[in-house]
Amino acid sequence: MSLTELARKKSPWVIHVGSGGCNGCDLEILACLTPRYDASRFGVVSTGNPKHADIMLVVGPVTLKYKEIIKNLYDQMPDPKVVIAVGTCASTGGIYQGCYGHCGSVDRVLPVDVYVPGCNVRPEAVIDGLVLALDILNEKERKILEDKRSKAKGAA
Amino acid sequence: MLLMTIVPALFGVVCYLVPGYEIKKYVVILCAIVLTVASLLVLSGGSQQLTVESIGLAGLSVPLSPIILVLDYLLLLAFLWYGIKDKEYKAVLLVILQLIPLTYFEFFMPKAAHAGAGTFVLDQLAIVMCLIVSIIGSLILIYSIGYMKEEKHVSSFFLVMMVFLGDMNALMFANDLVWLFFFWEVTTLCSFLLIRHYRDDVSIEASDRALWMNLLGGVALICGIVLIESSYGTTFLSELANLKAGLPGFLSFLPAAAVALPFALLAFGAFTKSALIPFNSWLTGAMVAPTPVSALLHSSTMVNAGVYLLIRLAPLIIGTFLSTMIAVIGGFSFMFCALLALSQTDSKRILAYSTISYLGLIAMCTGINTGLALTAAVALLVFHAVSKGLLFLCVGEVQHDTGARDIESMEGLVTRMPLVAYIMVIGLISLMAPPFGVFVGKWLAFQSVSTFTSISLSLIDIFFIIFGSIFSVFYYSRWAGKLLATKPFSEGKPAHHEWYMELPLIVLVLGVFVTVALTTFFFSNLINLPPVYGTEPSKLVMGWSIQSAIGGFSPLGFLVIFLIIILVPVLVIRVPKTAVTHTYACGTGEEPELGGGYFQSMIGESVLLKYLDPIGILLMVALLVAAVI
Amino acid sequence: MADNMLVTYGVPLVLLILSPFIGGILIGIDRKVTARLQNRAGPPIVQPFYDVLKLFGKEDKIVNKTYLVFGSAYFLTVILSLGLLLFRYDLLITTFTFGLSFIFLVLAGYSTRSQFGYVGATRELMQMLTYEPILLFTVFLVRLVTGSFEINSIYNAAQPLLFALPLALLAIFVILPIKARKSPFDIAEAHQEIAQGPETEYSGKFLGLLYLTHFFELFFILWFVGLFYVKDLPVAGFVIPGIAMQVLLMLIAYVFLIVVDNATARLRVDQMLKQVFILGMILLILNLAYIIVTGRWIA
Repeated sequence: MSLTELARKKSPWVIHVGSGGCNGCDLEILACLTPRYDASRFGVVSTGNPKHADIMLVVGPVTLKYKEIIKNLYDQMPDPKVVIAVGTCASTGGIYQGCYGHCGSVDRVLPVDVYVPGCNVRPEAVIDGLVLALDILNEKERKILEDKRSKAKGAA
Repeated sequence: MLLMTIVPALFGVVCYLVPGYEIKKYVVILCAIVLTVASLLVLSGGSQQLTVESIGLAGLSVPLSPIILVLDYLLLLAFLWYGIKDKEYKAVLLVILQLIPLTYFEFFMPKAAHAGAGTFVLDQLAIVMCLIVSIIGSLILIYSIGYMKEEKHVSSFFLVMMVFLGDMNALMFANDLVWLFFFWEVTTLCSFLLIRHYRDDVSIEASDRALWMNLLGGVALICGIVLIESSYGTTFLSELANLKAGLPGFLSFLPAAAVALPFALLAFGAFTKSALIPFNSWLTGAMVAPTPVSALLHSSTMVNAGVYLLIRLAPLIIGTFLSTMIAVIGGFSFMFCALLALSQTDSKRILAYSTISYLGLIAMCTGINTGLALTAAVALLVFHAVSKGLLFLCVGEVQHDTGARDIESMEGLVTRMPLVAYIMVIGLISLMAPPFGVFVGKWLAFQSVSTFTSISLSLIDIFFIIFGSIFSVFYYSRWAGKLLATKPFSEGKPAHHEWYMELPLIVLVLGVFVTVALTTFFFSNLINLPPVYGTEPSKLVMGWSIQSAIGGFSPLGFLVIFLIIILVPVLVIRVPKTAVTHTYACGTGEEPELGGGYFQSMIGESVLLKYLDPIGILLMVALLVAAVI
Repeated sequence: MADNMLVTYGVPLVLLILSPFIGGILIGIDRKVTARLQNRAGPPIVQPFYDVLKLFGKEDKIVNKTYLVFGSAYFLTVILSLGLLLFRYDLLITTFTFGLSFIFLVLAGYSTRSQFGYVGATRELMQMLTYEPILLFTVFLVRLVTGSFEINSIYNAAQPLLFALPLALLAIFVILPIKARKSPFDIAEAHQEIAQGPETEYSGKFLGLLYLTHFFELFFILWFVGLFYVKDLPVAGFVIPGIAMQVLLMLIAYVFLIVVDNATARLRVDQMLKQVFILGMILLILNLAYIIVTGRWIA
């Protein structure tokens, strides 16, 4: 594993997006950063800025008003990026299934890589999901580089 | 040398008489070229002294002094007429106050005969000033061809501008203080006429204020000249250094140190001309004039006449308390005008306040009065004139094209008017950053402020210079940043080019870089201090760097590094189309309205000037008192 | 002659190359110590290097070209000023070049045309307004005590600067948190308020450059503090070399930064202005008076 891939695993920067819902999972994610669960020992930094982030933690079903915004935020994130749907509402719609006013789950709007179920999700599960996402980051980057190489070869 | 003074005036008269804008254009261009060539001839001629007692006209030899006397009286009568016409009674009073000493001087004073001194002196300082006036003046003339295309009163505008250029050159060369006084008052007249160019109420009011403040300076000047004649027996600047002074009879109740009093009066006159606090309101009010006027008169040339006089006087007042007082007044203006400029949104007012503040810095350097400080003053004079003229011209072009002067409306100008906007950014950076010329002057000023031999009031200069330079960084960076703020998905539309206005900008911006590169050459060849200082600026230059006893710096080296730092990223960084995205804005994709940060409630004009004007007046009084202590 | 050249040019060069590593390790230790103080494990000490390497491996998302140019200019100018400081150029020029780098950062912040960049750049200018007078005044005092602006004269002076300028060192300590972007003065990058300030729109490689710049900056300001004691100290029989005293002073400054960072909350801009100005100026004027009264100044 090259140095860049090691560094990518060791330094996941997270943007925490709350797209509706009851905010219960939001609180649990914030609890991850407290001394008891301490996500920062993995190098996790919660930036509020998609341009600095690798991993997007989405909480809650995406409300109709938030759909454009979350797409905008996703577009602003540089590659390689991973979307983690945190909580049952983000994964499947959860308790809001059948309601008007939301799109359902996050994967109807963005391509999701990791699902972390739970209502509320436990902080240990969030950390588990984060660690899963680290390997996916490296896979994605490998795929992007391969696509670029094949396109360059195809053009040449 | 006569070319410099008379010919522009002749050109101006021709231009006035010639009908039609097209022909006027060519007359102006011809004048500009002649002026530039003549100034370069003067440069190559080297320093010399000329005695021009009379002009030979068609076989008759007409002595100049009486002509100047007659013209002087005509001038004062013209001021009187304007003052009465505009009901500006302060001006009327001041003209009368000027007439009295002038008449006394010319007709009633016993004058010693003086021989051997030239009436015009072309030493290094005068040559440098002449270069600035001519080259920048010519460029501004070309610029105003494009600017004044659809304006009215064009012919009188060009007439006054060209007469002014000739007069300014004559002022630089004059050695006789009486003649200098005449040329000084002509600049007041030119400024007055040019400020009221638009003939609306605001302009007339601004021109009246400029008139009476400058006339106040003229009163001080003529009183000072009378005192010099009675103390020293001569009015020739080059002779004053060698003569002993004695107090005139009617002032013998003052202590012996009061021989500095005429210099205090001359310094007072210089302060009004350079619009230091408390006289700053005429310069900020003069911004209603067309921009070429602001660029020429009120940043590069006329206001430099005041500090030029201070530099001339500096060798004569070394070590006196008067000199320290001049430094304090200059530093005070430097710091507080920079603070005032922080609160302004109108670009011309920002530039006006920053001009006053840099003139205050030059005055402070002449007040500190060591070899290093005077070198700093001359360097600042030259480099500041170039950069400030450039900025005024850019602002004028923006106003001409978009009709707005406010810096809030100049946001993102690099997409709409790329050439002007980038030149403006370079101009703004050149006023504050190493390695540019203004920075070299500021650095030398720092060095000279830190070199004091005795503890005195001059310690307060340290505060002034530090705070002043930080404030100027603030408002220049804010403005430059505003210009560069572009929206992510905006396309620049190709702007139409107005070559008459843009060519001088390009020449000036190249001039900024060239003058920086030639800084060491400039120091070693073109700055010459009177021997009383003991140091020579040419000793400061070692190879490509300027090295004084307490610190060294290489402008050329830094310029190269600076260009590498900026140009390498510009050339190397590529922005692929797929990578362009919105700004963060919390994901909404909206472009917010950005602005503010002017702190007008804390440092706005209305708040600060309440305190600054009284302090300024007190400082002027202290100046006169300092002369007699 | 040859090994003299090696010492005067080789050592600063080696230091310049090592400085980002030293700065990074210091920042890593800072995060670890902060974490321990908060009773948690914290990231490993080499975490800043992982961050930088990861950032260099990301694709770019760019708003316009201008702020990238200024960001790179900021990076290069900080390296230039650190080089000037290490190679013992002129202290005044070094300080101004360091200030120029912040001007570039401010221009970068403004040219992104985002509200966070705008507010962050304005706050960065206010921070410059706060610390530059104190820094320049301290440089003045150094010149008064040593007789010249050249850094060589600090090394050649009879006494270490600390003995003549103790209060100036305290004033520098007051402004250290501003320049190291730490509480209570981390206002330009107020994370919870304005989302990284001028650096908001940077991503990928350019953010990596900015991150690296912070390593260089930290080393610069610590080395500047270290200049206050560069003499050997004879103590109880053997001599502590000057470089060890410098390192000790740097460590003291660094520990001070960590302690103040953890102990204080962020202040508002006007509070910072008032408190830093009043405290700093009083300390410096007292020091100036002390120098004048004891006659330690050189014209």
